[in-house]
Amino acid sequence: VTSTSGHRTDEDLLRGLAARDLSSLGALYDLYSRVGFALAYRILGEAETAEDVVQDAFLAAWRGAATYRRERGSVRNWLLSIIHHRAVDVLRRRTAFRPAPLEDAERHESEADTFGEADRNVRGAAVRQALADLPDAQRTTIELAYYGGYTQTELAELMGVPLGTVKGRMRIGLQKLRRALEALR
Amino acid sequence: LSIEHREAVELLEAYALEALAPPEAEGVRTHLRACASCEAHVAELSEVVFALPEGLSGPQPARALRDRIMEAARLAGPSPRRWSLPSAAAVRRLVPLAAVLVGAIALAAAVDARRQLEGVRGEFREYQEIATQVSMGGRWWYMAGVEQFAKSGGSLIASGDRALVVFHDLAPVGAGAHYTVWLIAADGRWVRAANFAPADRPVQSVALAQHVDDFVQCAVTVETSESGRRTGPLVMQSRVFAP
Repeated sequence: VTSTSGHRTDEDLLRGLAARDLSSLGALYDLYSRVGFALAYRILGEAETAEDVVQDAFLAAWRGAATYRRERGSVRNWLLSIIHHRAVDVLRRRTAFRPAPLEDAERHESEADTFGEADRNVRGAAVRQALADLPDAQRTTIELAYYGGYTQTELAELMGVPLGTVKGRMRIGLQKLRRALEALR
Repeated sequence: LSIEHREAVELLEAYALEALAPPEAEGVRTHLRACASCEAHVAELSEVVFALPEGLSGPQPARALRDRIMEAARLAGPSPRRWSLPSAAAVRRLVPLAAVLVGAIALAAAVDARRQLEGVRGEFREYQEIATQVSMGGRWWYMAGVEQFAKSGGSLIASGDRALVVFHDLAPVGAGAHYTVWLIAADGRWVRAANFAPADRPVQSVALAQHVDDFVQCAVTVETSESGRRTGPLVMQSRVFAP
């Protein structure tokens, strides 16, 4: 996925970052801060730390733009990967804390302000529908892994199933999501 | 550390979801460098995984976050390879102080004011220089103010054996009190790194006498004693642990 800001592609913006052009950083922030913050907030369940994680990730991109390699994925995915990694790291360091059960997380979200854009976003609606269409066990496994910061071994223990079952749920669940989302490409 | 192809194939979904323990993830990474088919499969899986956040709803980031990030990037300097003038925003922040100093020079013969102005310039050059080094591989932690100190904040920047904190919008403290900068170790130990009084200006930098390499977080409190354990209220603390 390559977005554009004005006439500039993501790669143009990254080159701008490497050249220390602040307008490129601002443009990149405007493109991806919302989805990045949504990801960090979903993992951490708390806005202030989610903002710190997003700040940390954008500054890491600012400092490390020269290390970005296009062949390893889009700029958007690179940024989301940094945000996910940092957020999960914060979560795992909260030794006495684990994310709330999914039902609680959903309730928390519904109390918060929603993105008007996200609700209108066809892609967002398609992702939500694709996840909702998965069997509970596959959806829960994927969400706990990606948003809960659990390793597959921890998930096997948590869910009381063999490790092979966790792997199978991840594999089949991601296959189904891939098929469901292919139509959007 | 390397793993066989058959074993790697079993781990690719968890790898794409970042749900592997570090040694397993490193094993997969090593395998991917030598296996084009697994690398291509992970790329496809990653596209699916990175689509997941599109479906999220929730609060938006605060408007101030953008300014915070842009200001922190500005502090890192326009170019890591050449000396540069202070940014426009930094100049704007220094203008009131400079105006006061220039006025003082004109009105009061100026020796002290000139010294102060040189001090400000030197301080600015110092954090520009350290920030530039950080942009090439140092450490950077942001501390957000809490509760009644919510408008304040500070960025600890460190490179090699030099470290300083650039604070913004510090509030005055009561008579006999001062701010204390603490470094926090992974085992929870707090080590005092600096005591300082707030200056009456928007941006203030404080040099640290302590190496930061062995620490994972930093914080600031209001204290009344120059040494000893923390007893005063928390002003700000970094929440993201240093990598």
